[in-house]
Formats: sequence, C-alpha cells, structure tokens
Amino acid sequence: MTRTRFSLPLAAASAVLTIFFILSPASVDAVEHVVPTDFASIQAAITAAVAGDSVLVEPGIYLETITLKDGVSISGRETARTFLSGNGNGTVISADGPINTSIRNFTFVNASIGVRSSNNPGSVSITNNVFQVGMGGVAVAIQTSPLTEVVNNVFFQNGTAVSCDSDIKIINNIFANNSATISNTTVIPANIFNNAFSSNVQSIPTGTAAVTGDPLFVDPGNRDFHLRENSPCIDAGNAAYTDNFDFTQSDIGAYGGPFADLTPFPVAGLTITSSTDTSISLTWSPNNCYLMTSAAAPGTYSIWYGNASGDYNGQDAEGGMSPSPIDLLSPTVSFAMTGLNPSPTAPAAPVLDQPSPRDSKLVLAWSAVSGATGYKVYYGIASQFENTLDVGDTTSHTLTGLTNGQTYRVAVSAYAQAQYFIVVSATYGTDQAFEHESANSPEVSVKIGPIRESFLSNVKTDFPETVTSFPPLSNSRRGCFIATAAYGYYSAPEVQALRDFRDRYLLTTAFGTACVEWYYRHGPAAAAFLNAHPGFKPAVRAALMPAVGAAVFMTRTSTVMKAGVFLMIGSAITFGLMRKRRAGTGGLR
Amino acid sequence: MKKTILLLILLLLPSAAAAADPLLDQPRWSLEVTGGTFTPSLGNWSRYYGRRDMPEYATSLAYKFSPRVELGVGAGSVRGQGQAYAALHGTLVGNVTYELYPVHVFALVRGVVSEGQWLVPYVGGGWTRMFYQKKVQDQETVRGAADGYHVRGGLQFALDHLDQSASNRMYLDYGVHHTWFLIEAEYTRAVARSTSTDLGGTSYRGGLLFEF
Repeated sequence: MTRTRFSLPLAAASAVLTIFFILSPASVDAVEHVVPTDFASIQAAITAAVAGDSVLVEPGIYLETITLKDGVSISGRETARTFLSGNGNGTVISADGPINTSIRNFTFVNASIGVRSSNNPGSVSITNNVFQVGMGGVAVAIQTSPLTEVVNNVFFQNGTAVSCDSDIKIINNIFANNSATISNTTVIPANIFNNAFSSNVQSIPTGTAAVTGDPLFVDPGNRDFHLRENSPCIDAGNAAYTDNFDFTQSDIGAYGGPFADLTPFPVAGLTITSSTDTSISLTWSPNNCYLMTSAAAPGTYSIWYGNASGDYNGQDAEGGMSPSPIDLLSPTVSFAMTGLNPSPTAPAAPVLDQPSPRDSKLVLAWSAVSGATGYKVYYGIASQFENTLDVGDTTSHTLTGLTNGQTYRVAVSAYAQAQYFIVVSATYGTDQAFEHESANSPEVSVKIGPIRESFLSNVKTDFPETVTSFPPLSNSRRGCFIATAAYGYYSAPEVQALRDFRDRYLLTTAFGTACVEWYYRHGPAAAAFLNAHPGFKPAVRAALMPAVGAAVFMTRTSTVMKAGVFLMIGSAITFGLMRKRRAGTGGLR
Repeated sequence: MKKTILLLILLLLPSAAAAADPLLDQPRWSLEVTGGTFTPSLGNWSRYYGRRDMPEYATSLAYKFSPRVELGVGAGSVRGQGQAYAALHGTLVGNVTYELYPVHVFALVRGVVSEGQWLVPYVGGGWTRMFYQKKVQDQETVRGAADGYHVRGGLQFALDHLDQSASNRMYLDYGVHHTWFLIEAEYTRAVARSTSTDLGGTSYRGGLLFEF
C-alpha cells in the first residue's frame, strides 16, 4: 500500500516536466517497460526496448545475467527490495561495447561481478545501488570505459568494490567492510571525491574529501543501508550534487543524491501485545533512518487494518472515527486500536462425513462453511456433548485415544469470530516537500469479540478398530527386552525362541496379544534395571530357562513331536492320578 | 558366521584369481542395471494394491572366475502403494506404502561358447535377504527382514555388434569390454518367520550388462 503525495510546488514542477517531455521530439516514443508487469524478465524487457526507453524493475529477487543495450537505462523501483543476484557466480550486468546507459536503485548480491563495463567509449552511470556480492566477488569491474561514473552507492562486504583501469568518476560512495575498495591497475585516479571508508582491509586510494568512521547504517545485517542520525555521511557529499528530498548538499551512500530512492525501509517486528473484545494493542521495531527519527522533521507510521487477509479497508476503529489507514501523528512504535466493533454472524452448520476408522482413532472430515473462522468437534459415547474440541480453521480432524470397538457419537459445528488483519507502514517527513511511504510490514492477525456458533451438524456414529494391512508382517526388531538384557544381545538363540513363540502363539489370540502389550509397556523398565545391575543376569537367565525351553519346544519341533510329547505328558499325569486314587482306596499294595 | 565367511571369500577371491591369471585383458567384472516388474507370490495382492505387480529396480556386481562362471552381489528396490483394511467395517481405509529391498549373493553360469557370440543364455541363484518396510497411515511403521533364496535365468544380446565404433569408444574411455542388453526372470522366496509370510515373488526385468 504505497501512497506518494506531492506538495504544490513539486506538482507544478512535475506538470512542467511532463509537458516538456510530451513536446520533446526525442521523448515522444520513449517507453517505460515494467518488469515483471510487462515482461517476465529484465533481459526480455531490455531486448524489446529501443534507444531512449527505460526498464523499471519492481521489487523482487531476480536471478539473471543481463546484457545492456545502448540508450536503454534500467532502474529498480526500490533499492532495498529490488535484488539482482548472480546466484553465486557469473556477471549480473554487462555493459560492454559502445553503449550509453544508467544502472540505478538495485541491490546486487551473491555474484562474481555485479556490474561490468569493458571497451565502452559510452557513458555508463552507476548510481544509488547497494553492492554486497560477497567477499569473493568484484562489485564493479571497469575496463577501458573512461566515461563511467560510480556515484552514491554503498559497497558492503565485497572482495573488491571497484576495479578499474582508467580514471573514472567515483563520488559519494560508502565503502564498508570490503577486502579492497578501489583497485586501479594503470593510473592513479584523480576523480575520486567525497567517498566514505570504514572497516575495509585496503582503502587506498581514498581520493579527495574522504570521510572516515562508522557510517552508521540503520541495520546492515538486514540490508538496510539508510543512515542513522549523526552519521558522518549526512550532507557530506560532493557539492556538485544535492539530495532530492531536502535539496541540501548530497548525503554519501545509496540513499543520497539527486536520484535517491525515497521509499523507507519496511517496518519489521510488528506484534500484537494484547487484545480485548474491542481493542488491539500493537508494537513494532522502529525505523531508525534519520529521516524518520529527525526531531525537526520526523517520519510517521500508519496502521492498516481489515477483516480479511490483504484487504485493509477496516472502518470500525474508534467507534468508526478512525477508518484504515490510521496515520499516527508522531514516530511512536506502539499503538492501541480501541473502540472496535466486531460483529460476526453465525455461520451455517457444516455437514459431517461418515468417520473413517483407525486403530484407536476416528478420522473426521466435514464441509467448509462460508464465513466460519473455526470449527468445534463434539463427541462422546452416550452423547456427543460429552467432549468438545476447538480444532481451529480446518475441515478435518482425527480423534485419538479412543477405545477400539466402542461406538462414539460425533458432530461438528462452525463458529465465526471477527478477525483483524493488520500491517504497518513507515512514511518519511510529513512536513517536508514530499511524502513517501514504505511497503507494508509482514501481516499479523488476531480474533476478538464474541463467537457466533452454528447449529450442530448431522450426528454420525462409528467405532475405531485395528486396521489391518496386507501382507501381515511384524517388526522383526521388536524383541524381548528382559531376555535381551539377560542374554546380552538381541540375536541370542534363546531370545529368538521367545520372539518366535510370541509371534506364532501369543499374538494369534486376544488374550495373548493383551499379555504382549502389557509386557511391552512394563518390560523396558525391568530391562533397564537389569542393565543397571548386571549381577542379577545369571539369576534371570536361570528363571527364564523353563520359558525358553518351552518356547524352543513349541517353535522348533514338528507337530508330530509335539503331539507325542503332549501324549506322553498326558499319559504320565493320568497314570499318576490313577496310582494316587488306587493308593487312596487301598487297591494297590 | 557362515555369511561373513562367504562374504570374505567373495571379496578375496577376485584378487587371488587376478594374481593367478595372466590374461588380464579379459573382462573380470559384470555390472547389471535392470528394471521391470515384481509380482508377489502372495494371493489377493491386487485387492489391496490395485494391481498384481509393482515396479522393481535392481543392480548387481559380479566377479567372473571364467567367461562362464560368476559370483556376485546384488540389490533391488520394490515399492507399492495400497490401502489398509478395517475388517469389522468391511472397508478399505488409509494408505499403505509397502517396500521391499532384496539383497542377493549369487552364482551365475553364462552359456558362452565362442568369442563374439550374439546371444548368451544364463542361469543362476543364491541366498537372499529380503528387507521389508510397511508404512500404514496413522499407524506404526513395520520393518524387518527375512532370509530365503532366489533363482534366475535370462538371455543377453550383444550390443557391440550393432555399433562397433561405439563399442571401441566404451572400451577406450571406460574400459568396458562388452555391453549387453538382457531380459531375465527371477523367482524369490523369503518367508518372514513371525507371520509365515512369503515376501518373494516373480520378477521380469530388462536392462544392460556391462563387462569390464
């Protein structure tokens, strides 16, 4: 949401300039090609342009290798948000050969070379850009192009900021944290004026009227290279250049001079600190550019709000007295929107689909309802009102922790609550000859006020159950904790025998499965104790011996063998009982 | 222990054989890259997975003790997407992803009778360890392995004769003596002891064989 308001003198000047360009024969056919509105790529726009045209690039990240054309200038809409990236290598912009052009208001990142001009007798103007191509790259490389001008740029964290072999103009730039600032291989440049140098490994030559010391960038970590108050670069530029916002002597850096981008850096850190049924309190990080914090002409912030994401046409703040946007009168970084009147209407009831059973779960899905900001799930055994869950703005939910085989009653309702979506923008100098507004901050939202709930949906009944999948398989690594601890390793034959017995016999019955599940809940604790006290292992092995023996017998012997052994045991028991009975009756002597 | 010894023999034999054989110009290794379908031995498969077979990819590397006899290792990948079953409801619910990763140790005999032979039949077989993984939506993932065996046979067609210059370049640039196209069938049996489930099946694959 960008507003640009001109004062009367500027508007008049603009009108005069417009008439001049309309009447000028050379400008009759000049076209401004906008990327990506008119062309998908910058190069496509340049290819389509003819001498006298210009290419304007909207904010975004562009991974392109660009070759310029004679008479076609390119510029970014906003320096801080229009990125040209070399994607780690390569040259981003090439201006080779006999061409006249200008490159303005871009941020160059992550490239071997940001801008290259070679064998070019034409005029190349590189102004109001930020170069941060990386410590292995060259920001600007000029070869045999003596009419090149490098004016009002920021060079931050580059291998070499400017590499040249002729006496080009290097004026009003900030060189900070580079390995090398100006590298000239053939001549000592005589046109280096009013540049600022800070924390570079090599800063020779510095030219005339150099400025030293911290330039006081606002937030270089977030690529905000605007200047703070008391920066030594403010009004320290060359006298031949004036700022386009206060018409004083030019600032040094990317945001000074006659072609500076006047858009403030977007507001960051917007958060909602509290809310009530009728108010929302906000705070955000200050924009510390000196044009915002200047006591003489401070900037301001605007609050944009509405009841839909991206649509900031709210009307109800202060009881309807403060429609969106709310322009604050001072550069404060907090604000409370009061007197809000959230008044949602109850949505229609959703339609619940038949639940889908899972192991101890029921998967629910229902129809979306217009105007709903959330849904509630009702479920229970005797009544659906036994439990209620607010599941938020979704049309599906899985009920967990249920009992397999138990039938549940389930229903859903929709509810609506007013939701406010809010962004903040920063604006430079309300009392100056211009006013420029930043892009919006990231959006925040909050629900406030009464909740209007729909009627209940249709009620569905269903029960969870263990889902079987094909083919039947089990975890072969899930072993016997205690036996593994006692015998020392997972693949011990005794442990394998117990696993096989579990899988072949216990897991085939409900009772056996329950026993196994009980064991897996409590077995690990016993195994941990055994591992912590290995002295008990021989005793545990001895205690397990009958169980292991039985498991080996049951799993390693044939059916005939088992039948024979069971027959022998049965016969022995029968014979013993008969002997006992006869002994009791005195029949046997 | 037996498997470890087998693996050591497999690893050490080539060096011994190479040291003993002065004819080093002959190809000593076979590399197969194949793809095809795997049809499980289990019945009822299509009910849960929608089709009878699953795509399979496999590769193997073998050492040639002679032009006819090889010993090698191979691995493959089989993957199917199906649905689970709620028995009491009588409905299919939730997605199932079933994956098999067979690992083979095998011996192979190729019917080579002359140099420059166009068509070579081969048969082989060996030990198989079948790793499995079954992911059921909203449920625990099941993993494990089962041991078994496999047998396979196929036909290989010499591609060298189709473009002799390309064949020469393969030899000069990469050391590949011969390139073959092959089609083969494989039967695998590997029973998971815990549930007595045969994870094996029948594969039909085609691919390339490089001898170097």
